[in-house]
Amino acid sequence: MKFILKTIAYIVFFLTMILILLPKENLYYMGQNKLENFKVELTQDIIDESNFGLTLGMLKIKYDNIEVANISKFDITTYLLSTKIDIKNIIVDNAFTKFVPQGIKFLSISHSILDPLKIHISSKFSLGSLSGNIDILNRVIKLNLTVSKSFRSKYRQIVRSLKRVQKKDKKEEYYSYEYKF
Amino acid sequence: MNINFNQIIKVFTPFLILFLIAYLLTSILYIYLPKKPKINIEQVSYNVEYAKYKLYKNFQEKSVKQKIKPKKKIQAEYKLISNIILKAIYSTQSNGGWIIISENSSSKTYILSIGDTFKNYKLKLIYNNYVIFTKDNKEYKLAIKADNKKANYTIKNIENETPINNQITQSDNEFTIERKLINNYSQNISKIWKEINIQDYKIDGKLNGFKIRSIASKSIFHSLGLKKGDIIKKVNNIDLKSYSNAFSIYKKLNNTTNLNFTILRNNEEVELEYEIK
Repeated sequence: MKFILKTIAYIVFFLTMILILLPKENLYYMGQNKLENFKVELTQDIIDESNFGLTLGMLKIKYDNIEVANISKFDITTYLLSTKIDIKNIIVDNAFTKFVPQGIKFLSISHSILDPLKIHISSKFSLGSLSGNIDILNRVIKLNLTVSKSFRSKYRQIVRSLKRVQKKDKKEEYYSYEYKF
Repeated sequence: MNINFNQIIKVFTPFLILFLIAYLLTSILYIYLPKKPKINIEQVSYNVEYAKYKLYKNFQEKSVKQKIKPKKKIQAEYKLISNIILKAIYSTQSNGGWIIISENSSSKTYILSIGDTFKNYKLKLIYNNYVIFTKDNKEYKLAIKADNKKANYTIKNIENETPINNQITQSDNEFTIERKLINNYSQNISKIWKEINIQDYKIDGKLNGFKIRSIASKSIFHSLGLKKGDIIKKVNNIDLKSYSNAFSIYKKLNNTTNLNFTILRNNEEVELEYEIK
């Protein structure tokens, strides 16, 4: 028993040290270069490395030299048991407003070792909110959107591609989206 | 108190070794990772911006273009402005100064200078006998009367008073589009989507233009001569073979001086050319 506890302590310590000492900024640069092969260009004004994460400020995303989105803060934090990505204030270029709602205030993507087969997503935007998950095993993305009336009239194209679901009490309704990849 | 240093060293040595291994591994990783971000120097395009040059025009007599002046819409009534009495105007030569107004319902008077707002009406200009207010893109003219009992008022729309057809003019077989109209669309992409429905046109799985599925009858696209079923192959000599090409054209709309569409209509290539002024 003592041996098992000792081994667990050594593994936890070793992994924690690896996480702290990882050159996160350089790993981001590597990711930047890899994405360029897919014509995706990332540029940021602020880059801040912490013990367990990396924060990017004023991140610009370009695809094929066209500015797609601006993000005020992109924060990735990883601990031994969970990893979380918090994205604040996503401004999508006007050209894409037909497909993506404007004014995304917050987007959170998280993964925990306690639920290893699912990646959880939640978001808040000016005219509604979103929650859902990515099922890694079945390769399915499931999203539930709760939207306001103005969202329905403004983003008809998006609403049309969603399935309308009524809650059991029939007072509230939400839209669901499912995609297999 | 006896401190057993041997015991402490025995406990901490494995942790120290693990720390060194972690440090070594991350250092090796660091060597192979890029140290600085890749700086992208924007490539200077040596392609000449598409424009139509007409040398022969220099040897021709200049024709005077007749523009159809749009009729100004004048609405007869407006509740609030009709309730305002313009009591006095103190105007300067540069259409500045200040005015005294009052409401029909009360005896209270207000003094306004240019730029001041009264119940969401902004005072824009002051003339000798009348003043101009603006509200919601409309101009309100309020005139003074000798007896000060009732003011004359007229309202006109500032924007959207020109129909699209009047903003696309034709002379000497040339079509001219007003810059204002283009800017209106380039700043509001949702307006484009409302008026035209396009679909990818692919050959062997590769994008080779955009097919028009439907066009609103009172839209700019209809006035430009585009029709349902047309396949837009090129815009300003740029092949529409990728979405990025299409978006780069859209992004440059504000600065372009010519608009040229190469379309495939009934298996025949047709060119539509417009000058933006």
